[in-house]
Amino acid sequence: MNNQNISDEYLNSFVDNQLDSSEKIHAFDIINQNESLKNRVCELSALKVIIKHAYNQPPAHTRPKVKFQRRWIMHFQSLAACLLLLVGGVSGWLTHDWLGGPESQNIASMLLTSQRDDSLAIDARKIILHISNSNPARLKTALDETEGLLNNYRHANRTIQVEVIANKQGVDLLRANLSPYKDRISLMQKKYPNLNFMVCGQTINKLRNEGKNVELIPHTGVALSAADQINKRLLQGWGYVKI
Amino acid sequence: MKILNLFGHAKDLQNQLEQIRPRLYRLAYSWCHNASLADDLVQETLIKALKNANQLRDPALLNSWLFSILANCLRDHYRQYKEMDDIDEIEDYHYAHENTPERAHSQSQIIMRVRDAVSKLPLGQRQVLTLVDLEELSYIEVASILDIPIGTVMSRLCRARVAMKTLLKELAPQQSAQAIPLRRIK
Repeated sequence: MNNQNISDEYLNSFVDNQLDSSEKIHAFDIINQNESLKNRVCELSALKVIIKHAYNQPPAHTRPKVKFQRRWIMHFQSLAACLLLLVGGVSGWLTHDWLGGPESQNIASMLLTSQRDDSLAIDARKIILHISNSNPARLKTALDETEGLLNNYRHANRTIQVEVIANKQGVDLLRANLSPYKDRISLMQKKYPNLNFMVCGQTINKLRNEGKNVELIPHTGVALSAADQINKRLLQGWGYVKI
Repeated sequence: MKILNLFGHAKDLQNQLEQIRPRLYRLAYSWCHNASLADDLVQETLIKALKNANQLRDPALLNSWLFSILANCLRDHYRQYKEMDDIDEIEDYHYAHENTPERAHSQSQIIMRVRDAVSKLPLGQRQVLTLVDLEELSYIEVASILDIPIGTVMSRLCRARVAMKTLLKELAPQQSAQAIPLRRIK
């Protein structure tokens, strides 16, 4: 068997230790007698070593190691979740009567009262919504939420005062030439006298200084600044929601 | 007692899986050259292994069984995202790395050169090469894991090594064109 007759597959099998002992001895003899074959075997062996070296320490992924949870822990968690659900359901049922009475109108204020700082008397029926983003989806959400809130209170014969303050890119909502909801806002202003739209004066000044034509939707108020207006409302006990 | 034995077996399997996890990750990384994807593939492999633990008849074949699941997971992944490509001919080196300063720096290093070369191999060759060289599996085991004939294993391995030889030469840092050649002075 000369060098030409030795295939790469055969040498690979030799290097990968895939030959049986008699074949291996035979291969040794042939390779020993031929410098070229020796070189080919050396190259293949070196390649094997170098590939192993290259992946000795693959780059680590940053995901935290997930430990296998024991079954009893999972069962315990399920049981705890069921118990919690049961307790929640029972307490809800028992407290149903309390909340269904005339006091129910003040649930929101009760919740807020429980969270509030005594120095700031937050009134749930006065809410200031803050918009600083011109993302149409956000603006639509803001208008939907506002309209839903006003509708609910109107149907419940309760009064609520809502003020929408826009600054930064949120001002676009109230710019007559840019707002995608100009007609809707005008309609809302007519429909709900207790709804007030305001823009940040500083943002308007900045836009005008940049040479932009700022035309606001009619009946839109201009505050000194959004921060000032929000601070003022908070001190007056309004609730603050950022959209 | 049977229940206790079952718990014991489950615990043993979990321990074994935890031990083999780094090897699975290394193999997965050598196949896809993407750390996140490799990690996902390993996770998926381990989940499948735990779910189908009862299918493993011989515990001694655990490693091969896991490599086989890993290969299937990778195949599923490529089928899901590369439906129109031949799975064995995918050359994902175009997507294997991004040009970052770190990479540029380490480009000249031998590890990166070898990884680059491996990533340029078609997936079929790459899998055979890494199973043989990294995991030191026999050709028969590789054939069984990848569900291909042993002759295909040998031919792919042979082509992979020939290609690696060429690629490593191509990827070696080129000598500067401005280097002054030596001249014989008579």
